[in-house]
Amino acid sequence: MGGHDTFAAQIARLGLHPRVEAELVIYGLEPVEGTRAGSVVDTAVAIDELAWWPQVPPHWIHLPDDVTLARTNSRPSLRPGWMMHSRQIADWGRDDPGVAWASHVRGVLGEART
Amino acid sequence: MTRRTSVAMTGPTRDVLCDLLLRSDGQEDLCLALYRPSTGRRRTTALIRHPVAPNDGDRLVHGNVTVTAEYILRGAEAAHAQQCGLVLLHSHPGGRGWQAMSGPDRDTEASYANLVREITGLPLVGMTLAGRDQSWSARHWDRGVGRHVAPTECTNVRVIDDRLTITWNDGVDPAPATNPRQTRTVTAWGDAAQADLVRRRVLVIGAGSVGLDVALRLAASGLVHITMMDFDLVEEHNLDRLVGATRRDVLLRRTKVHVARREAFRNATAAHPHIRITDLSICEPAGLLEALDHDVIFCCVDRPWPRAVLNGLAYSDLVPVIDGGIAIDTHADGTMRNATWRSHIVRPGRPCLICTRQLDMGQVALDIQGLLDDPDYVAGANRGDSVGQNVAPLSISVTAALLGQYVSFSVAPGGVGDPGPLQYVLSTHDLHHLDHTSTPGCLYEPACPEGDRRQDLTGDHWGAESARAKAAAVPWPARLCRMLDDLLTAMSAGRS
Repeated sequence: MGGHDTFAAQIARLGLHPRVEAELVIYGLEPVEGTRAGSVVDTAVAIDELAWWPQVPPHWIHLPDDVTLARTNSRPSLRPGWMMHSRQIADWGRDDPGVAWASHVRGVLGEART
Repeated sequence: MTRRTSVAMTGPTRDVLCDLLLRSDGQEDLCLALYRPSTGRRRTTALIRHPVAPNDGDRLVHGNVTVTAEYILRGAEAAHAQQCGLVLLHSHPGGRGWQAMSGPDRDTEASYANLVREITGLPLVGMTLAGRDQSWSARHWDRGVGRHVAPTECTNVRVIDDRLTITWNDGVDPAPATNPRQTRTVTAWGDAAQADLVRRRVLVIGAGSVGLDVALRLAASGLVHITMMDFDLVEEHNLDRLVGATRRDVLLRRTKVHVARREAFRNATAAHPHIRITDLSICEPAGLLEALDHDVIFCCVDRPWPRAVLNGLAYSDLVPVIDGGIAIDTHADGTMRNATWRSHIVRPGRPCLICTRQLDMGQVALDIQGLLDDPDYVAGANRGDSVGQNVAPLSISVTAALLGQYVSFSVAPGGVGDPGPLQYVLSTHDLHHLDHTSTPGCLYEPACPEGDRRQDLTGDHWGAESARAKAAAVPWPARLCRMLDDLLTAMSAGRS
């Protein structure tokens, strides 16, 4: 079982419905605050970055172009019409990996301007 | 070259095994245990995970002890189910030190070696516990098949606890004779400790200001086998900290490990020191294999990826890692605010580097992807991280802190071993014992040793490959100058 399988299994347990497309694990997440609060936003992680999951967390958060973040260091995603955003997770390794990752991404989505 | 073999276990595992093997009536006893192999470049270590306790009737105690085939089969099946190998342990209650096998011991182990290897896919490991001083001896039944099956005697058996206790096989790795240059060292801790310390295979990762100093001081104290690992070249800006390196080393594009070996040789007191260097990175699979040949590792690097690899290795393969570092803070105007240096031993029974907040796995992801060296990324990220720095007057304090931890862990002065994580604050000159504990979600410290089944974090390391390519691209005039310089150094060493 590869790192991305473990990742998918862990976030599936949280009801995030992961699917693999174009070297990405895509899943939907509902932010609890910010402009996107209350609606499900598609987001993804590159399979390459999950090679060492759960020991090493991914760095880049992939989001559709229409999700804009106030301060970001971004690069084009593997998925057309998406960008990947640099976000370093803090205090990794202290909590359940799936829960910690979902909480991190929710926090990032809470910063979304649109 | 003969492959070396070894056995390692934690202190709590040792305690459980001693309870099973040392009887109050003074008779011999036996038990089984499961192990995982940890395969290095030249050494294979059996990492003991947990015992398979005997049931009534599994062995016959009659002064000596006899194992039943049913017990062996039960143990081998458990080993197979858990992807482990099997260890057959017995005690010599009146024994002291490394135990040779008696005829019946050899016959018993030989009679089950083929069967166990057939079921588990791994060699049977035999172990003997000497009751008088709790010394261990061991062998891997890894040679030949059928009637020709034979053991490879282990070099040592290591127990990792508050102190590192090693039983040495004098027949395979005899203690080198102490010489007059080591007299003062021996008076500090005695002949027995010296005979242990000098035989250990120690790996120093990072040949910067701290790593170089650690290596040469270990060499000065008489260690025979020291390996230094670093892929960096000596550069002009290293010279204010890399004591022993010269401008000539910069001009000749020497590697840091070359300089470290030269300085370690100059200071070595062993009659025949084996000081090896490698330009691998511990983040590469070959670097990890190299590390697994060692009894102790000094981590003298500050990058997150290598420290993450070592953090895992300390628990998965039971190779203790002596780690530490310095943080120098400055005010906005560039004047000095403070400096702190830490030291700790990463091992089962102590919190890992993540739990002590000495390693941020979020940064490891950046380091693996080469983003910490990517100018575009760094500019875009607007990172406020302080640049890792050290200065010669303080790097010696980090060296002292690491070596102090090592001496306590090895010799246990006054009966006190590993002191736990320490932090020294320069501004107030206070030494703090840090009260870190493992967090409930820790993936490392509570786990059984995995050995070759570890989830290791090694991979292609662009930085190491690039540095080696740079070192290999030295033009021939510089190569010629290097050869002459080496010759002069060798002649100078010969005169002294």
